[in-house]
Order: sequence, then C-alpha cells, then structure tokens
Amino acid sequence: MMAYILKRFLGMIPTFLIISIITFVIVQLPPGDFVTSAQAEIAASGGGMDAATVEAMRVRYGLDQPILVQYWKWISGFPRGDFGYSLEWNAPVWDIIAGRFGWTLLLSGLALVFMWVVSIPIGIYSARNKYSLGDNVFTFLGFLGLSIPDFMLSLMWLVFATMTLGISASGLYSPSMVDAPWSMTKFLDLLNHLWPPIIIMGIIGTAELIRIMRGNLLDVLNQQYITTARAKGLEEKVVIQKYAVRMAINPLISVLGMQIPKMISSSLIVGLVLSIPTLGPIFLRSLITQDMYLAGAILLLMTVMLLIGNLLADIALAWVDPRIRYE
Amino acid sequence: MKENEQYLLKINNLKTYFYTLDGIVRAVEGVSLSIKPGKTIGLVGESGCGKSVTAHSILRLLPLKTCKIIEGEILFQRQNNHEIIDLTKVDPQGSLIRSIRGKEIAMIFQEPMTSLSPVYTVGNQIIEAILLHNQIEYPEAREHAISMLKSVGLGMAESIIDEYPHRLSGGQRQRVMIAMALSCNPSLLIADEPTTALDVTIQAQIMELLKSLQKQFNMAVLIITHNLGVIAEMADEIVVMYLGRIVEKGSLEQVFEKPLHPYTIGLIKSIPIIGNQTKKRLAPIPGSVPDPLAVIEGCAFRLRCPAYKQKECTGHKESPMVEVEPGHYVSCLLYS
Repeated sequence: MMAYILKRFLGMIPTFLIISIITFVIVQLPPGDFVTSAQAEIAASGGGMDAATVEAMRVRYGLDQPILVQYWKWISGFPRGDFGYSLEWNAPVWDIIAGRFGWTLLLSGLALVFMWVVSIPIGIYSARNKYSLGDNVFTFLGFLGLSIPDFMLSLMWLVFATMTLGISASGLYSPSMVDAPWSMTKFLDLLNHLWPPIIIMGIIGTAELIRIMRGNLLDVLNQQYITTARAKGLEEKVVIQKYAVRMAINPLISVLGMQIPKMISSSLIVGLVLSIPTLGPIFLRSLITQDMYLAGAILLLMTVMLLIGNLLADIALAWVDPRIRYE
Repeated sequence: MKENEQYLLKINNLKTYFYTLDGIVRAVEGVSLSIKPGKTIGLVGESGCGKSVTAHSILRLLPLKTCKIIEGEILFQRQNNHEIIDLTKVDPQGSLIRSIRGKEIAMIFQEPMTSLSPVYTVGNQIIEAILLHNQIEYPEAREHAISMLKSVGLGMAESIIDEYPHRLSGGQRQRVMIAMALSCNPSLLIADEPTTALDVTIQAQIMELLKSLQKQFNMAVLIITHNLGVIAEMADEIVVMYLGRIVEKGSLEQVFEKPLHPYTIGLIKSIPIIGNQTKKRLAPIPGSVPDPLAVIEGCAFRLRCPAYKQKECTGHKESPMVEVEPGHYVSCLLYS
C-alpha cells in the first residue's frame, strides 16, 4: 500500500510540470503584460508614463527576459515554497493567498461534506422506493439544483436575504461585527454567513450524487450476493447497510476525486458574488491586471488540489475495495 | 396423499404470479410436490419454466412489490418440535422466516462468481451466518467455519477463510457457498443450478461433494437444473416442469427408463451421448417456449408436442395428474 501511494505520488510530478507549463502559457496569452495594463489604468485616471519609466518597470519585474527564463525563475521557486512575487500587490504571492486559500479549502470541504451527508441517505431512499412520490420529488429537486448555476443561486440568495429577510448576506460578518472582538455572538454571526455559500456550492453536486447513488444501489440490489445475504437469514437492514450500500458507495469515491476541483472553482465564483475572501475575487483581479505570477500560482494551486484530490480518492478506493488494493 | 406420510416440505397447488408492466406472468401455475427428509428431488425444466421461482417461493425471496403467491401452501416441518408451518402465510420480512432461512433451509445459487460479496472476506461472510443462528462466541464460530471449509474439500481452510472471494476460483467459491449453506446444519438444501456456471470437471466434483455431504449431514436436497445428467447423478425423485406446471414426476428409474410425457421423452432424447455415432444428430424439441405473458388454456405443451392430435388428444382440455404406476405421475391427455 505504501509503495502504491509513493508510486502514485511520484507519478504526479511530471503531470504537475506539464500543467505548470500550460498554465504559464495561458497566463501569458492575453496581449500585453502587467506593465501595459498598469499603463492603461494610469492613463484611465488621467496620468501618464514616459517610455523610460515603462522600460525601467519591465526590467525591474524581469518582464524583458525571454519567456523560458521567466518560467524557470517562477517554477524553480516552488520547491522552496516561493510561489513568485505579485507585481500589483508588491508582496510574495503566498502571503496574499494563504488566508484566502484557507477559506477556499474550508468552504469547499464543508460543501463536499454537505453533499455526501445529504445525498447518500436520499439516494438510498430513492433506490429502495423507486418511482415512489418521494423518489420523484427528490429527483425533481435534484435536477432543479443541477440546472441552476451557482452564481445564479448566489445572486438569488443575495436578493432574497437582503430584500425579503432583511439580513446581511455578503461577506463573512455582518457590517456591525466586522471590527468587533471575538465573542460567541461574532462566531455565530460567522456561521450565519457560512452556511448559505456551502449549501449553494453543495446543491449542484448533491443532485449528481443522488443520481449516482440511486443508480448504483439499484444495480447492487439486483446482485446475487444480496439474495445470498437474505437467504442467510439476515435482517433487511443489515442486508442493505452491510452488503448493498457498502458496495454502492465505491463509485462515489471516484466521483469525489472529480468533485474536489469542481468545488474549488465553485468556491471562487460563489466567493466573488457573496464577497467572501476565497481565492475568487483576487483571482479575477489578477487576471484583469495581468498579474501573471499571482494568476499562475492560483491556477497551479487549483491543479495541485485536483491532483491531490484524485490521489486521495484513489487511495480511499483502494482502501475500501479489496479488488483494486495493491499489494 | 396420506396425512401420516412423513415429509419435510410439501407444496400444494402453488401459484406464484409476477405483475409486470406488460401483464401478469404466471410463473408457477399449480405446482405440488413433497420432499422427504434426507432425500433428493430433482426439479428439471428449461429456462423460464418456473423452477427457480418455485425455489424462491419456498424461502420467500421473491421481489415484494412485483411478485405474489396467490394460491397454495408450502408446508414445512420445523427442526425443533416438528411443528408444521405454512411458509406462504409467513411475513417475508419477519423474524420467523429469517430464523428458517440459512438455519433450516439453506440455498446455493447458480453464479458462484457473484454469490459472495467482493468486499468482505470469505470468513466474515460464513461466520456471520453462524453467529446469526447459534448462540456462540466469535472464536468458536471461526473454528466451526474452518471445519466447514475443510469438510467441503478446501484444503487450506485456515488461509482461505481470510481471503477475499476474487482470489478464489469458481469451483472454490461454490465450495465456500456450500460450506456457508451447511454451516447451520439445515434440514433442506435448495441448490439452484449449482453447477451451471462451472467447468464440466468441476461440475462432477461439486455433485460428488453434495452427494457425500448430504449423507453426512442427513439433509434433504432440492436440486434445480436443466441438466439431466446432473440429476441422474444424485436424485431419488425427479419432477419435470414445463411452463409453470409439473408435467411428470416419479422416481429416478421411472422417469429415465419409462418417460411418459412427450416433453420428458424429448428432454431425454436431447441429451448427447458420448461415444454415439457422431453423424447422428441430436433430437431437439421443436419450437420454443411460448411467450410467458400468454395465457394458454389446456395443455401448455401442445404447440410443440410431437404426439399432438394423435389419438384422442386435442390438448384443449386441462389434463389431470394421473398415477400411471405407483409413484409415477404424469399430466397428459394421452394417459388419462
């Protein structure tokens, strides 16, 4: 098992390098560079820069060097934990994104937990009561959730909370609480602001998981070993839990690997709409200003999440299913 | 039948129907048979003739929503006080039927590859059954499971007990299934096509094993198959089914030596005989099994019967079960 994990881990390195090249190229693709967009912003506010200043900026930021050199300077810092230097914020990238990265992970993680906790029981219910009223209602709600994009749901919640409920729905704290010292009330206020984005992010995946769980369980319930278990004299509850659900969950674990990056990108969008300090707002800003090291680092960080997510899912799958366990 | 006759299981006029979207499938249409303690009955017929449904009806393992036993009784004599209960009246999810399943009536299935859950060890699945029906502790149950694995001829029982099913061959898995089925000493073993999915050499081994275990454990066996060769190995009595009905039943010799029903004659003729002239073709039964949704009045076999329209047979009347010789029954107008 350890050898399997190590092998998978080493296998991630080439993937990571290839993706880092693609990321770097994509970030460089828009015409111009950070200096051009800085020039444009200054010009927009009525100022101007002479050619010498522009050239000096380019040299200072290393933007005059060949792209390969720029790439190497950026990527070679990674093993040391140096993710580059943000041109716009004038600070190391990691210092800017560390806190936001934490919120992103927290929101995405809780959204994943929400999805699993909600969809597995509903999936089991739907499969065991196939075509019943409850199954149809859940299927309908699931598809409704699946078909409304997360930004739309965020906007709807924002409007509903502010106009109808009259409560604060954006940010992490109510305006009155932002500068208050830590207390129970402030913590509750934080929780009150956290659950809506978690549910909004979770809803899309929930519908998918319900359908997968329902389908898997229906398949498994037709398997011979379910009849064997019943013929042994086991209680129906044990047959379902020990034999059916245990098998039906396996494919969900592979889906989990794919859902981790989805949740991360959803947390960017929801964070942007609801003004939550995830990576979302800063990522958008860095793309607009062509702050290439910041944008690249965020993109690459998402890639790493995807790779780690898949690795974790593979390990979990090998752990629960003896047929694919490596020895 | 005489009331004082000893039987372990007696099915009287069982009718099991499936309610599908396309209509009602009369899977079992009035089956009666009885099994004596320690004896073997072979239930023969082609696919879809209702033999598996009959077996599943006994243990009430049929799908609850689509399937219903609409008539008949299944009388079973219990181990403890020889009390006789009617299994058709039992709640299919209740504790009474669960105390019979696995404990008094055990079942093995056609597909050994899929009969065991792939995510639990063999031992886990056997010990679970033992602990369920016996008031013993885990170490004792494990010992018992190992001895059961040894008695079904699995030599390395101590290591096999901790293996996952995918590491075993088909024959080994069927042996594990048999060990599991016999672990609680049932008085009746239902073997639903136990050798169909196995190699011919393994088939013979499994049949031999069943035969010797039957003597050792003194249990009755209901063996379901479409393979007459399998039946000839071990059955005391044979019941031939066609389209949910019994067409002929009798002792092994009676049915094999003097088959009466045209269907039975056809079945026996279609067995390949090794060493026979290769140029001689097998004699299949013409036609195919009618649509299961169709309701056929009178003799269900008349559409394929070579003797149809012979003599006075028109096949449109219901043919009663007649006893042609002691213990040899046939349901065919030619004999009534």
